[in-house]
Order: sequence, then C-alpha cells, then structure tokens
Amino acid sequence: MPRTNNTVMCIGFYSRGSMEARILAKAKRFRSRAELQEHQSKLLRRLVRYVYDRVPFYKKKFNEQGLKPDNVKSIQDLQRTKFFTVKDDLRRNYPLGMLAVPFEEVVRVHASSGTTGLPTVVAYNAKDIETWAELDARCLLVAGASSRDVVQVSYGYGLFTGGLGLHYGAELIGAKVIPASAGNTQRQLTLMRDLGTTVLCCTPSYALYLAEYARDHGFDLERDFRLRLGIFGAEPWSEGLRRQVEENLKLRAHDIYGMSELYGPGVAIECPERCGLHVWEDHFLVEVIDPKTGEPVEPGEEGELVFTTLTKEALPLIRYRSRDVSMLEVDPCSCGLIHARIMRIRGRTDDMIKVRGVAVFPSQVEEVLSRIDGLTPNYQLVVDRPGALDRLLVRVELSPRAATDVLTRLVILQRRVEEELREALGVAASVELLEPGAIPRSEGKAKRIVDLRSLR
Amino acid sequence: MITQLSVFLENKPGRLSEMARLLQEAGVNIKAMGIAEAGNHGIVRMVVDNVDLAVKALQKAGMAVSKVDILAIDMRAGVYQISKILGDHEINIDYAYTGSGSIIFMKVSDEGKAYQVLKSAGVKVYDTI
Repeated sequence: MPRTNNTVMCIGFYSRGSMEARILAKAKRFRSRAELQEHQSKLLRRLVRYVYDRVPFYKKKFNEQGLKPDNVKSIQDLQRTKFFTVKDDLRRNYPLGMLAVPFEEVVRVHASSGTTGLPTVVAYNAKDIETWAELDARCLLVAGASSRDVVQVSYGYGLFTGGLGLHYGAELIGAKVIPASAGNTQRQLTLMRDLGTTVLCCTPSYALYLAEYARDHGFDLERDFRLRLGIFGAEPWSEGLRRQVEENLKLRAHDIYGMSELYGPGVAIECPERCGLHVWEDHFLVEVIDPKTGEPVEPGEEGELVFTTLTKEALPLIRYRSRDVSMLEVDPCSCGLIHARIMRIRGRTDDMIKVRGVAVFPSQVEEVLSRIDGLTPNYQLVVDRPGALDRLLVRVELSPRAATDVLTRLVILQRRVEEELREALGVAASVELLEPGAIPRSEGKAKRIVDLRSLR
Repeated sequence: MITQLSVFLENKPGRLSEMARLLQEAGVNIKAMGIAEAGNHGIVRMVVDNVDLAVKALQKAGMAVSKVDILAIDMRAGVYQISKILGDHEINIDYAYTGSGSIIFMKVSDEGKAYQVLKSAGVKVYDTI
C-alpha cells in the first residue's frame, strides 16, 4: 500500500527533524550568561534543599559546615566553605548510600572500574536516563550528526557508561545505531564497511588502532568506508593524535567529555569550531579550583574541574571533584552557544605522575611525540626509582616509514625526542625506540603509565 | 649494485629469531647479514635472495624495513687494496660486512663512483649474487 507507506515516511521524517530542532532549541534557549547563571542558581537552591532532605551524607556535611540550606543562594555561598564531594565519598557509601530516591525508583546502575578496591556504583531513575539521552543527543547534534547518520557505538556496553550513553543519544536523534561495543576489531571494520557507518564513537586510541588494523588486514581506508565524524573521548588525547586519527580514518574528530558520576559521556562536546568543549551548564555547574587549596582559580587559569549536577535525581552530587585538569573559557564562541567551554583536558590529577617532584601528564608527552616525524602515537611512560631518584622512561614505537640503514639517524631521532621532552616536561626522560606494534593495543582506555615505584 | 634490506629491531632476546622466522616461512634465504646496535635498538642489515618477497613478509608483520643500494665486492682483491682505492678517491666506507664465500658488502658514500673506480682497477664488483 504505497499511500500508507508514504504517509508513514512523511510523518517519520517530519517528527525526526522536529526532534532534532527541539533538542537544539533547548540547548540554545538562554540568551545571555546572566540568564543562564540565574537559571543555575535557581536549580542550585532547589538541589541543596533536595539533598539536605534526602541524603544523610549531605545533611551531615551541611551541618558540619554550619550551613543552612536556605542560606545557599548561589555557588559563591558554597565556595566560601570547603564543601566538596570526592570519589572516596561514593566508595565509603558503597554501594548506594548516597542515593536521593528510594531504591524502587532506580531503573539502572553503572559502575566504574575499581582499579583500587571497590567499584564506584552510580544509579539512575527514569528521568535521569531521559536527561542523559538528551545530553548525548545534544552532543551528537552539535558535533554535526543527524538522523540520517549511521552511528557505530564502539565504546564498551555494560557497566561502563560509554556505550549505552551514546547509544541512547544517537537513538534519540533518530540515527541508525550499530551497538558494536568494544572489541572484535575485524567485525567492527566489516560492519563499518558493509553498513556504511558515518559516525564512529569510541576512545581515540581505539580509533587509531582501528585504522592500523584496517590497513594491515586488507581494508581500503580510502574506498571502503563512509566515515565522516568521530566522537572520541573517555581518555585525554592531544591535537597530534587528532590529526593522525583524522588523516587515517578520513573523518572529523570531536572530543566528548563525561564520567559515570555525571551520568556518563555527554557532559561537554566540541562544537564545529573545536576550540574547547561546551559544558551543558543548564545541567552542570562547573568550577575550576586549585587542587591543593580547594580555592577557585582566577578566570582563565588551569585547575581541577568541579561539577555540581543540577538536574540529576537519583544520585545528585554537589561540588564533585572530577580530578580532571583543564581551564574554563566563558567568552562567547563563534558557534553561537553561550555555554562555557572546558579547554582540552590536559590529564587527570590521578593520571598525573610526579617525577622528581615535577608533574607530568601523558598528554604532554603525546603532544611532543606527535609533532616529531618518524614516531607513532603509541607510547608508554615507565617510572621507576633505581636509587634515590625517580627515572622516567618514554617508550615509543618507531613508524615503519622511518626505517633506515643508518643507525646514526635513529640515535639522532632518539636524542631529539629526549631534548624536546625535557623542554616540554621540565624534567629529563630517556627514550626507547620500539618496533611498530610493540606496545599492547587496548580496546578501551589506553594504558599509558607504568609506575614501578608503587610495586615496592 | 645490489639491494640491502635494513630492519629495525629492538635489542632484546628473540627479536632476530622472529625476523628470521618470518623470512624462512616466506621461503627467503639470507645470503649475508650484519647487526649494528645502539642501546635498546639496532638495525639488521642483510642481503637476501628475494628482496620483494622478504619486504612483503616483514611489512605484513608490521616491521620497519627499508632498502638501499650497496656494493658486493670480491674480497680476494685484498681488503687493503680495495679500501686504498676507495680512500684515494675520497670515497668513505660507511659500513661493511661479509657473507659466505669471499664477498664483502660495503655501503659507501658514492656507490656509482666506487663501482667505476674499483672496476677500472680490475677489482670484481658483482651485479647480482
């Protein structure tokens, strides 16, 4: 019955388009930062009362600080105190001691990998799942995806929030979703080719591995794929890695930010301007603090990102310390969004390693490696302490293109990397050149640091 | 002149055997070989009986391999005589190694000129081996 089909198609198309427009309109509904901040303060006042009444942990914390919920009018009232929530608070209240709704209301839990002891469990009610989907839908739309796209979600599905977060967002905008999850690289590439994937969501290191694997296993990166957009996150990465992934996979790469404590991915996204990631400030109140003192840094200075969830219902968090290091840009962006931008995440306070007292982030090393010809972005930092002093070793794979019969060339390359690293890091590192493929590949977050000091 | 393959390997046990295994499985024979090392890495330089097959097998395994032209000289002319001729013509020897038989393989600063001066001095220089 062609007529019926036509009607259905028209309705389908119309409602999809209007859904996209509706989601974008919500993201753009504030005309000024003052208006946005007024909205945030209103939500914050409601939140403070909400957690005081519902979460014993927060009630106790307010009382300890001598703060009455009614006296909190804006974030400044909290900044005057040392009121923070940290990951350990969630662990100490394992599994769900900080829940603000009855457990019956919970419809989903996720858990972040517990590298040290217990996992951190987070919970969602139905409204949270809806909000989260909308945030990821916004991210996809702002990055340039639409209902016409085929979105391959190659983040892990399961306890990790990456897979399901992007999945719900992509479905909400009406895209065609391939829930590939992480792993099985051969199948990923086969599906990508045969279903004409246009948007790829995964970690940047896995994106690079996909390209490498494709090249080595008979795929034609130019002709076999229709990729045009990458939504990459869940680990800090550099502009150099972005260039490599874009060149190899022939797509435009956007950084996405999030963490399970804040729903998951979808907290912030790069718009087409790609100068910072817009934080959805109608859902998150973001601050930058000095990780040592807890004081807010001066505008434009680098520090630890701290988030207050303004709309989460099941597990709201006040001034949650993300341990991610970045800075905030509030000046208007030429894309038209007034939401503040977090500049590229430099690393995590717990990814940061101290080498002879100097803070070193893997992303700094990556930036150096990616601008030197003859190297790949596959690298590892190894720290040990053979005597009294720390020793930093950077192991990096040589690019097959850099093959040579002249040993001196390799020695010069190695010395150049050592010099540039010393320049960039402010601490000496020795460099080992490895054969291509020597560093184990990861399907999720790449393991960049091997700290042998902690084993003793 | 003949083609030498240069393979980048980490300087640790098992890497050379891995490379040699790949060549053996591809049916390639190594005619001559030398190893140069610098710290954690090194370069294996070698002459093989089937360059294309060898390059294909090594690259497929992800190895960093390159090709360069070198000289294969009959050593029976005498190492002193060969090196004196080259030295007298301001040609530098970058590295050299020997294989089975009496051939010395040399990488020099100017292959074309070296080829000519050795030939005209009556030293045998091989075009194939």
